[in-house]
Amino acid sequence: MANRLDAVSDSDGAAAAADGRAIMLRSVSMVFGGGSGGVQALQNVDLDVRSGEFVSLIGPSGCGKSTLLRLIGDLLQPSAGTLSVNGKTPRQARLGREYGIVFQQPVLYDWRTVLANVQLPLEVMQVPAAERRSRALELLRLVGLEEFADRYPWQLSGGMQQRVSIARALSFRPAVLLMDEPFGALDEMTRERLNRELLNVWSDTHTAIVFVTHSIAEAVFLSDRVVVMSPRPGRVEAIVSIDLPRPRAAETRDEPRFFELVATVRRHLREVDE
Amino acid sequence: MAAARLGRRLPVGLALLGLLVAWELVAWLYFTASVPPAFQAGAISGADPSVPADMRVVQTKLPLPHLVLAALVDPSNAGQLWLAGLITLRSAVLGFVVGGAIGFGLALLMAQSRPIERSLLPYAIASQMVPVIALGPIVYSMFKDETVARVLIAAYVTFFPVTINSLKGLRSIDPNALALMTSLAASRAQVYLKLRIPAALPYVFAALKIAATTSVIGAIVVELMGAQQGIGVTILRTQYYGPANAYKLWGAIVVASLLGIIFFQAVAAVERVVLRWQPEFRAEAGG
Repeated sequence: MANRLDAVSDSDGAAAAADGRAIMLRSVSMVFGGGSGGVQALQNVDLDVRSGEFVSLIGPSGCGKSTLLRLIGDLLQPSAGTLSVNGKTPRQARLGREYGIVFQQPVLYDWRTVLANVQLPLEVMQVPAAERRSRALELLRLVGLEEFADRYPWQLSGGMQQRVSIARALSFRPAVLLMDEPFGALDEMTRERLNRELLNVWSDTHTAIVFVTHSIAEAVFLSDRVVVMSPRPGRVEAIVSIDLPRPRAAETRDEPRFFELVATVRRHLREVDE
Repeated sequence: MAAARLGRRLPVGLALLGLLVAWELVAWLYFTASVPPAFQAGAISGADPSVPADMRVVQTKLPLPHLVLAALVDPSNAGQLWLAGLITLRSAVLGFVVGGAIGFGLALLMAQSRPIERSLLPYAIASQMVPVIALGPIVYSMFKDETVARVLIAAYVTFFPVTINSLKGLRSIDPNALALMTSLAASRAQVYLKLRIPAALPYVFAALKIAATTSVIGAIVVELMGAQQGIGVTILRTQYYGPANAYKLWGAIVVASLLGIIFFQAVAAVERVVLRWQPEFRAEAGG
């Protein structure tokens, strides 16, 4: 399998960075497994995410949205097409520590306290201990868990664990935050509260977020744009711009425009499903 | 807290006491049925030549627990017994540390690549096919030192379970936990220090607890084949010295098993501290 990421020319990447596009995908395809038995997970995906933009990927199971996230994060290599992140290849961006990642499970290390978990990326980057600690405490304050710094992850509820995971992902101020159904395992009330908290945190950090979700309401509430994907092979079917004013609050979910946008996204998803 | 601990230990103590009482009862019934009252005192001491031989050996078949306990605390016997035990335990612990380090080092090496694992693992398995009882004299003739032989054999029986379990642990990592490290562009050494090794520790300790008992047995086996000191030597001598020493033999066997239990419990205690984040130890960590 040829790695075509190197095909992104410097001028193209620099242009993307200059005009504020954080992430740029061109004709990205992904096939798992070789030969005739290969499974086409993504086909000719074009997508741009501006720096500081909140973009959600939504679609039925098997539409390749998690695969797309992993391609951007350089955890997978595309079969064809080009990706650039802030003018660099995904690999360069990863080695430059530009990605914060949040998974569906919190993926906290059980042998570390909450504070030590948030510090993990900074340790890997060999940030001095004092700075590591103050930075981690600042992030814990941001997600409202400062008083739980010395607890262990397993002493916290699922929602709290996921907030720790978000704090960890943001601890080193990454340019891009990749979130793979981060609230999918939580109950509805916790989920809506964490949605609001995520927007508060995001407004402080200016990070571009790519957010994978199954929930239409969540995608509409959070995003600047919602990307609707179709399954087998995964393609971008529609992109819905969300013109709800920011800052958004719990009441945003009661506004007529919110319901219209939810209906729009749902209509696209229904088309995709047929 | 103290009451809770007592609550946990009380059933264990009662069970032990019940076992000893039942044993004492059965042993006493067997003894009185086999030995007429006139010969009983002589049969127990084992030294009276007027007691028929078959009655003298009754106590080597099924001892009376209270006499075994007496042998364990008898001033003329106990000092030597416990000293012998300590000598054996020292070698076992030393061998355990050496074997544990080698075993874990081998696992780290094999974890680096499948070809390395495929080339090394067969030898590790083959090594365990050689009976310790055959290896002991060879090791002794190589080094002509009983302590070195004991330590080496204890290390030899320790390294294998540690290698196998550690390798399994180093490889059984949540893919997302690894992806997190990859996304942070962590170095190989960082992935090991911050993720693979801590995550492998529960597997390592499972192996260490097995090795804690087998390393003692390894050391004793070496002693049985010819050493000057150690609990294995005591077991051998008291067997040769006949029925008069029956209770010293049983005492030595009790000491030998206590060594294994003590060592096992010590490793388990370290495990509880090191792995306090593990689900099975969480209740005690509290929060």
